[in-house]
Amino acid sequence: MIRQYATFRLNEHLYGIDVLLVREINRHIDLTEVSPAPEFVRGLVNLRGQIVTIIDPGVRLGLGTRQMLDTSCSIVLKTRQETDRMVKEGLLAEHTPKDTVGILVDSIDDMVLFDEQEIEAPPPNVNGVDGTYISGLIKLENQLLSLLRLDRLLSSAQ
Amino acid sequence: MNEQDMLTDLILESKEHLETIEPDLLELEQKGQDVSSEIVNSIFRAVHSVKGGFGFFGKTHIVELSHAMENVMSRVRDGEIAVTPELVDALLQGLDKLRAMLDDVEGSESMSFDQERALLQPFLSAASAPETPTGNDSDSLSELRSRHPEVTDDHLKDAIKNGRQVYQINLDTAKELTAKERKTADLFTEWEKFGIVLDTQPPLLKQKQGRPKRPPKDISIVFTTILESDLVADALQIDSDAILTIDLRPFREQLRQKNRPAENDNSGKTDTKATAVKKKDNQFEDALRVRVNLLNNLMNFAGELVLARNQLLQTMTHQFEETPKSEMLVRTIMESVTEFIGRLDSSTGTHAGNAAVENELHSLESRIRSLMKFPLSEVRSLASIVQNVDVVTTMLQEGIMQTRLQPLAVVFNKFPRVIRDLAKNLGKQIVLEQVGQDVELDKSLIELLSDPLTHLVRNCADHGIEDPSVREKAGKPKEGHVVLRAYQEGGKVIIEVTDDGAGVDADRVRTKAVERGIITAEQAQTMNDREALLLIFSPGFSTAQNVSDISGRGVGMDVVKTNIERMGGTVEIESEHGQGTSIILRLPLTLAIIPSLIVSIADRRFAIPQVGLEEIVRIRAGDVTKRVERIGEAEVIRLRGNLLPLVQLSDVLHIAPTFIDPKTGERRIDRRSRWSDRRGNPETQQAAESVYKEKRTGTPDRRASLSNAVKIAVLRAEKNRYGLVVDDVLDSEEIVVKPLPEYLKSSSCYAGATIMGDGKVAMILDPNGIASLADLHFDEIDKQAQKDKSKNVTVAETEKLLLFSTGGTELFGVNLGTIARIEKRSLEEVEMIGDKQLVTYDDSSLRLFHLHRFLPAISPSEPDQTMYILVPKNASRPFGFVTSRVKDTVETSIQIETHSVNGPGIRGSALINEKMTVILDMESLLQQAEQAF
Repeated sequence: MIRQYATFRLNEHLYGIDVLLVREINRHIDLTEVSPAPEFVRGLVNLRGQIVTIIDPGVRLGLGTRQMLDTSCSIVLKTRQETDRMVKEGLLAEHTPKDTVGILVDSIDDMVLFDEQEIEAPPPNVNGVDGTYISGLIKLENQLLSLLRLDRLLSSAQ
Repeated sequence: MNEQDMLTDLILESKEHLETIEPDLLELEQKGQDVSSEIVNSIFRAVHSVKGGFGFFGKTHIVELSHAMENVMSRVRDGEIAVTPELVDALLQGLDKLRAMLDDVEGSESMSFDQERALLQPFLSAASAPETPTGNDSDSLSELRSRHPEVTDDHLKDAIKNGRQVYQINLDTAKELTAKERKTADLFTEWEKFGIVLDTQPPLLKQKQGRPKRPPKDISIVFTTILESDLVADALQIDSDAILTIDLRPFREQLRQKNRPAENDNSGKTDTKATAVKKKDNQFEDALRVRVNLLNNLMNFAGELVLARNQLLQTMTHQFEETPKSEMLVRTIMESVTEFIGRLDSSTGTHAGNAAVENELHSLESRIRSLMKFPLSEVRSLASIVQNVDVVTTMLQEGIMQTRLQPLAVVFNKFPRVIRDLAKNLGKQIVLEQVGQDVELDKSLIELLSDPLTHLVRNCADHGIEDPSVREKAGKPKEGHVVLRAYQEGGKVIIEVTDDGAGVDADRVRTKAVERGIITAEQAQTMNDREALLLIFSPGFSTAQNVSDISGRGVGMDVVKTNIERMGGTVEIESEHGQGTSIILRLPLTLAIIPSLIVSIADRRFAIPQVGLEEIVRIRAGDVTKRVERIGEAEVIRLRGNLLPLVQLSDVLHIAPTFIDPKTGERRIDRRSRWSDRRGNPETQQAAESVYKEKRTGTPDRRASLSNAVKIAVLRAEKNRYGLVVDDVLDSEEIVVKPLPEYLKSSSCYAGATIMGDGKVAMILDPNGIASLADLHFDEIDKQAQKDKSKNVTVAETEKLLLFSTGGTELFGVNLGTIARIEKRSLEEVEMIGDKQLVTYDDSSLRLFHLHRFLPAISPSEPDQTMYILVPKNASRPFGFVTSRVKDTVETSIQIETHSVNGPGIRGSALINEKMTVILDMESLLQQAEQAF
């Protein structure tokens, strides 16, 4: 099956998630930091009256916390309610969290199309990143696209 | 719409029907035979709709029970049976069971309703026997009837009423079952999704065990459904040849003939029935059922629209200021260009080279002219559009808020039944009066209100109202009255639950409270009656002599109080021994919006719900070391004689505290360690002191030193109080509460989040969570307090006094902690009603009292052009004391001398700033004023 991925960068490396999981991408991040909170929770933002939890994927991946850059974006994911049906129909492989969550990335890259067959299983360590959070790898011309396992990466259990 | 949605809707609709039944049944009981036929019909119709709806979903228990009730009602309607209390009881019990079934429709099939059925049985007709088929019946119908005697007229009537068809199906078992490997039971389950299997020959329906080994060759089945004949075969997955549509027309005709004379006899009755039906239909037309979820979303969007509108308005205002400026600028440029062209013309004549320049200049001129066309008038017309958007936005927001409002009737409606049942069980006579059922509250509040209110109403009937004999002896009418009254007042909804029963005996409350260890005997003595009554809200308190199944287990009033406070409301009690009790609930209009205080640490803002907040205490920077003490691990201050443990919000949240640098006016991280630590370490102490000294002496700017005062929010966590130290106290604001995101659930110091006016998210603090996080040793502090007392340590206790005069020569002082607010008003604002002076305050009236009325020793006050009204805390009625001038507030330890000046309402006199000051006793003044009210 052909899948479409939204790709983005964390510390120069390319990562991707299934585009069906994405609700919208926001450049403006007016963050309210919350403490105490788990380290990977960067804070909360107001998205048209809805409170969105901003998660820094770098923390769990072992890349450290993100700096806020001019190119920084938050990728707001659909909620579990929205993705449930797609998972049931087999369109999606993983669930999203119940709450509205945005993942903080350094910059947004292209949308790419791939056949599932092209995806390779990840080794335990990819570019110094914990392999448990990677569902697969796709070899591009001159770089590697790591597909994230969002259900593990965003699990609220610590 | 799928089947599940249909079922959900049906359940909602049926519940609404059942809600209408109860009051009708109670009226039926009260009026007996004299009840209007409209009531009887309305009950009948409601039960009938429930039955009809669930028949479609094959919920046989709901159908059978409602069918039995419907039959009883139809006999009442036809005058076949009399209305007796037993009959109403049976119907009420049936109603309760139906409700239980509706609450768990899936499980309704396994619920037994034998008891309810047995109760209804005596009122049911002796099984409506099928009528002998007449020659009028068409062939198909008479054949059906002869083959299926179990199919009664009621079945057919029912089918006609609900627009269902009746089919007779001849099932060839070999073809339909054996060949397709189906079992009859499975087949019927499948069919029941579309309709009802009325009967089978040979009978298979009632047979629960011992299925025949071989199914008979042919089964004749009577099936009724709303499906038309062309669809039935498909739906039931059988051959269409096997299906015979029963022609019901002859039966319908027969029915009509039979009913006609009866209708003529009762033409008046029929008319009312018709109008009643019409009325009901209209009600349904102008109401829509909307999912709460959708409303919540709409409310979110409306909130967002309000924010966008605010930004638009700001931009507009900015434009209004800027446009004239740019217009002026364009005009100036234009003038200089024109002038330049003129100069060029006069000085150079007609040189060829200049012609080009001149052309350029002319085109520049026309371009500038076109620029000048757009300005102010355009902005003005834009402004009127913005204004429209503004108005519509506000209306939209208000409208959406209102969609969530529900009338209190939703809760109130169940109380007539509650009172009726209780009165019956307890052998009392109780009349319930309800006022203000149409007052509206947010849906979520209504839901939360149901339990506490039921508890209060039950309490009235159980403990409040006495037995009839007791009442007679006390010279009261035998019938007790319970009054539920709701009304809106100043942005709040007030609900009063009042009874004219025995009232609460304050002395008994005191004794009980001491017995239960809630207060000490000493405390009991010093407590006034009002305070004593409040004890009934303490956990583990109950004054009931006997524990009944209705109330009196000692969990009750405290739960009521907790629940009401959770909704952002308050509970008060007024009671006169022997005369009755009033419980007064004050509730906000919506749960989602709560009043709160915004505080900050560094640049982060937090909301503290007003409910948990008692007061704000400021300690001047220079007094910090003096006032903060240390007990064990805890830092405490003494506040009006009590030890108050302190919690640094920055510690709890792991945020570096800041202070405003008096030199630069910037915020800087405060690296002080604990204040009380400084005492042990002279070096740090000196350093810290010097920071403060610098602030005090180095900069004369009072604001800087004021902003560096230590601000403490005094919070209540369950039974204890503590002080939360924050950097700044900003503002009070009404906030919309949003639930805490899943990822932050472990952060127990937060109760939720909210969106502030500027669109940023702020966290809502949870006083209880913070107390447990900060690990406050309340017991240690209590011990210390006890020690203080036993050693009789006289603490140089300071008190904050408000100094004022009333126009005479005397100077008065009153503890600032007893004052809720000071209102400045001019004399014109005072209105006179009779001899009462009133001013408007928070949309309601505030009664004014002059102090000399209660303190005859002082000189009467002269009316002044402006007055300051002291509104006391903890007053149960809205009033304030008039003063002519507020002089000052001082924080000092005073020596009160009680010899020279004394009397009720006066604590004594003291020398403050070398002036003799009369110190007032607010507690006593409060009581006097309330009595005089």
